Amino acid sequence: MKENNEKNQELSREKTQVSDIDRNIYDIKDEEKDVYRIEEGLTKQIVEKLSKEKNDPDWMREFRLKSLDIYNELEVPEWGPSIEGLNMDEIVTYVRPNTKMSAKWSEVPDDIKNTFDRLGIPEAERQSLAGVGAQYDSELVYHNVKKEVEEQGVIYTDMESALTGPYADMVKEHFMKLVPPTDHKFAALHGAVWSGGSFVYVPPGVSVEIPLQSYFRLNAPGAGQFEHTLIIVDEGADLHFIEGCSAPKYNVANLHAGCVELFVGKNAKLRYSTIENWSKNMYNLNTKRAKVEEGGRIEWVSGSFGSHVSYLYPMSVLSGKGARAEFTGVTFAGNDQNLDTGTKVIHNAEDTSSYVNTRSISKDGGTSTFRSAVVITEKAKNSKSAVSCESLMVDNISRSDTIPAMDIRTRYADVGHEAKIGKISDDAVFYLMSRGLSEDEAKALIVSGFADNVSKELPVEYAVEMNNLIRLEMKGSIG
Amino acid sequence: MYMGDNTLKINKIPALTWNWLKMNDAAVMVPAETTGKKEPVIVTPDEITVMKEASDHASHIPGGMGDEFEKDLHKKADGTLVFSSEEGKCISKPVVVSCEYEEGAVTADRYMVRAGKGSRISMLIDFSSDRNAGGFAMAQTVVEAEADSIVKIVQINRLGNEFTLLNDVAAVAHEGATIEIVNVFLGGKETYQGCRIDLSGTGSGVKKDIGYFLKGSQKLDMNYVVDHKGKKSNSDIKVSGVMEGESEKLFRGTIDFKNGCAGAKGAEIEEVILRDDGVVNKTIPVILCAEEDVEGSHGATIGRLDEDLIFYMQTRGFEEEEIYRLISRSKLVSFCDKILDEDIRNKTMTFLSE
Repeated sequence: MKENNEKNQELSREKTQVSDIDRNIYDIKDEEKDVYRIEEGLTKQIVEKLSKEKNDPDWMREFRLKSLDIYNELEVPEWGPSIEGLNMDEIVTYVRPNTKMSAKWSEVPDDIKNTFDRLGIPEAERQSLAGVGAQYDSELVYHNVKKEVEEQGVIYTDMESALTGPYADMVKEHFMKLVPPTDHKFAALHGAVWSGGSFVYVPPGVSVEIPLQSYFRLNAPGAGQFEHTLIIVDEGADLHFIEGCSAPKYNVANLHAGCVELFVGKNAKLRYSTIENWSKNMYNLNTKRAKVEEGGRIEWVSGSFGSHVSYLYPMSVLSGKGARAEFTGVTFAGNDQNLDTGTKVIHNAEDTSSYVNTRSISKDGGTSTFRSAVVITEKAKNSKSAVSCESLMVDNISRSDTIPAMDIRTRYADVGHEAKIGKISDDAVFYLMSRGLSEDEAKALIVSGFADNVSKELPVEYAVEMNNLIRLEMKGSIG
Repeated sequence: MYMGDNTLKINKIPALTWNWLKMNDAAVMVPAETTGKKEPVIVTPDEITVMKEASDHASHIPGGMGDEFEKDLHKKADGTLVFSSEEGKCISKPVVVSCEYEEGAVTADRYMVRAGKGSRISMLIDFSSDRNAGGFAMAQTVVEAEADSIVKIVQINRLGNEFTLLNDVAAVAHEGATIEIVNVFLGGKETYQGCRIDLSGTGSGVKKDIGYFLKGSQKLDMNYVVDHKGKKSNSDIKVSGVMEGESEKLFRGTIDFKNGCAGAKGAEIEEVILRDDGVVNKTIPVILCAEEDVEGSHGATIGRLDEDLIFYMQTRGFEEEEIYRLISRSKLVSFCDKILDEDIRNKTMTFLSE
């Protein structure tokens, strides 16, 4: 125990001291002990078995099987990065850790607890969060919400409990309604094999002062994680939800095909922040979508650093008059990474507005693609949209593409779009070097400043982690 | 619909996006054979040599419309009419090609401009017909700009309400060469425009000015691509348009910085004024980049006129509708001013005013 504490203290120091940051924090692998693993591949039998393991209600079992049929019918998208290295016959869709979900850290098995300790989850909970959910492989192992938040009537629980508990009807009414399995192949896959995730309900008028967080850790090699996050922020309510994810690196492909559905009620506000740091053997095919009612507001803050291949485009459907969406994102694509990220906004009501502000950085042969769609329907009179994307090329062996699309169908719209691509200014590097910084440090500082639009939107702990990740990625970038 | 029609996939964007946006390419039914051919009236300055090539040297230069279009055009066109300027010659008068089509015409024409080293050559192609005429025209202009040459291509669409035009440009600019493209789209029922410029030479450049005024149920589908291969190559694309009624427009504009084009700069900007609720305005300005030392940018402004401008004009006594009409027209007039032939310029201004 003492040994563990010392190790944790040591690693905690590593995480908080910028100069000492080490990817080892994320690359720690736990030995699989007594875990339940379903067979590799994706068949009707496997889906039925998974459904049985999870004690699904009948409707969910049928939903899974229908989704599997849709998955088998749909084609792999031909427009994005290659996912040829992903073989579904070799992916394990369900890995249950050797524990049940608990609301006490002391009841979480030591090896899992240590991993989350190293990632700073319990510390963050104590210091700056209203509640935490921690998922390990396919299941949540810890879920807790502060008493005062609970007393406000806020529901923060795991999806499985929500599916059969007092909120079962609410879950059934909303589950995969925003992202139907027909949306694309990996939404269908999610519908078939989803497991874990969080359900949040914020009652009308309730403002949750400090954020809730879910952290997703995928430890098992060759496994997939398919958590489902469903958040309903009722009329006039306010919530900040933070999502974090990481995994150790293996030589086999891992898959993340989560799904996030956010319902933002009339005059409600939801901020959804993500720092994604999956390992570089991960195929991150995640789907996130928000529906915003009259006067409501969705704010996406997204940092994408990990994964081998990423398809990630949080979508905002502005369906009520005066609804607003903001998307602030940064993507850092390094060696062996092809990160295809961006956002989609559908303006489908009067007086709606959207603002998209992104930065992307490519280095060491990495490929970063910004992809967006702004659609303003004929109904969305007096709508406004502004999109700004900037890309930085750090070397000559990387790629950076921007593919923004706009579809405008009313004369009463104001749409602006701007994009820039370029390299780190030699003058800026020279100036910083003349002030005593090394070339490495100067470039890292410039890149951190370039990504400032995202870090300033995050709580300070997460901004520090993001800047650490940038420094880690920039290390040794010279020559 | 014509007998023996076949469908061509054209104007494929170099980097695909979501299929649900329906922007990746266009499908168009093409008549199997040409008919009602009327030779274009061509006025050529004395310094320019003209010859017809059967199997042309130009076919290795890819256009913006893609392989299916080029194969079909090669099959149908009666060779390629090649206009050449000698090394060092600066020809001030343009080649003027007046393609005045008759009702029901189905045509396929191919032109090539070869600009010798350090020469200057310009070409104006005017596609026109009676205002209510229908038909189907396919054309391609291939440009090979040798070192330090300057080539200007101006193309105008004044076709009738039932005409479909597939018009493509395929060009390569060698060291120090500059190509200028002006497209003015006013007529036709459906217009598909492809254009691919290969900036292969160091210091080569392209300037594109694209203007359109779409009314009723007119449809305009564009695919402009610039491949920056040469060091310090430069591209500048300006698109400005007005849309009314239930017209549809899709602008695909791609600046592709290839590895090795150090010092290249590319910029594209689009301004669209939408005047009715039934319009469908799609824009996808793409930048692809595999080179560190480049500067690329694109910008778009779509929708209403600037409020300050409207306010200013209102203080000068104009009604809002009148302001839109004036500004819309003035945007296109600036493109018409680039038309190199006075007679065609006047006809185009008249077309715009009708």
